[in-house]
Amino acid sequence: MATLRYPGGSQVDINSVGYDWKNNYISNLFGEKSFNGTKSGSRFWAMNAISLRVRHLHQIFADCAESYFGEYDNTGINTGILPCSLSTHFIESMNNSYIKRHEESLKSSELLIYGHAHYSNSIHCSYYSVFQYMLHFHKVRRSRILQDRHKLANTGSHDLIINATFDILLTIDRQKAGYFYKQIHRLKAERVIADYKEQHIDHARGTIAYEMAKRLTSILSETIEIK
Amino acid sequence: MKKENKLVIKLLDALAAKHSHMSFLYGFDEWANQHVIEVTPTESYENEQYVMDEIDATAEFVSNFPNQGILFLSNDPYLKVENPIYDTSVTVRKVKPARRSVSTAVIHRNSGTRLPK
Repeated sequence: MATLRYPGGSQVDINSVGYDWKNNYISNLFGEKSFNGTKSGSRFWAMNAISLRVRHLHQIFADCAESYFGEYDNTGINTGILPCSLSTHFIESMNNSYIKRHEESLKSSELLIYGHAHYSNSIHCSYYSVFQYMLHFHKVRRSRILQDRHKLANTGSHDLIINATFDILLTIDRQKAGYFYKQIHRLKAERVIADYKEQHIDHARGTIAYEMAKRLTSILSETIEIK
Repeated sequence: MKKENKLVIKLLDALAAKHSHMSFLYGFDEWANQHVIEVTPTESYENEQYVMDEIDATAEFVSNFPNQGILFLSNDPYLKVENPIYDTSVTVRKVKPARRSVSTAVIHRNSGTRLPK
């Protein structure tokens, strides 16, 4: 839009008309006057466009900081995050948030069952869809467990997340907590069998795990905002 | 026997004492890193009072061992206790264990049976 409002003139040809993508700089759009000396109408649009872009990048930055470190303050000063900068890696990680991975895993599970009859892999996806939602649950609640991320690579890391989720649910609804705990451990055991053991896994078994994942997600989404 | 196994056995004994008609078969699933307990009968497993007691037992276990899981099952079509290490339903004569050997049988009704490996 700003380029359409630029009157004309560039360092190559001061009498050129309009914005020349080859010979004008982007910075020409921000001047009060264009290169040929006339008042520029592009300034207003260019300033608004860059303002929107900065806000967009700020949001990406904040979301990434939350994903990586669990919390982020609006000053942008967060230990550990500054050296990372707004690299491509960060921007791409927005396509890889916990909630996005949850959605993709659940969708994959459905496709694997009903589209490909790959039941073992569907159980894997069902379990991980719930696990990713648990991470999202703790991110939204800003719980401490996500800040202790270094522990998550070790044995029992999944249990740490599951148990922390159970602890929170216990304070909200004991019966839901009990149901959640039992079902997530059933699903986890099924995932281990599907991934590591040689057992027959049929359509019914894949479907049970998929339905279980949907019910567990419902419990988490119902309670995610309850303090 | 590890501390976590002892705690699970203690919790199962307490559940079996309170719900005397119920029994608990306990094993550890190393692949899934979780303690698995098969509960019978299924009707009692679904009883509201038992469900609440089981949640209390789970909460106590989780507060002590946050890196491990515990799973109570009943009549599950797919998941079973494969290598049981304790069974509250078995009543056998008290046997004096061999010196320095793993205890294979110090058993009472509702205090359970430690099964040989």
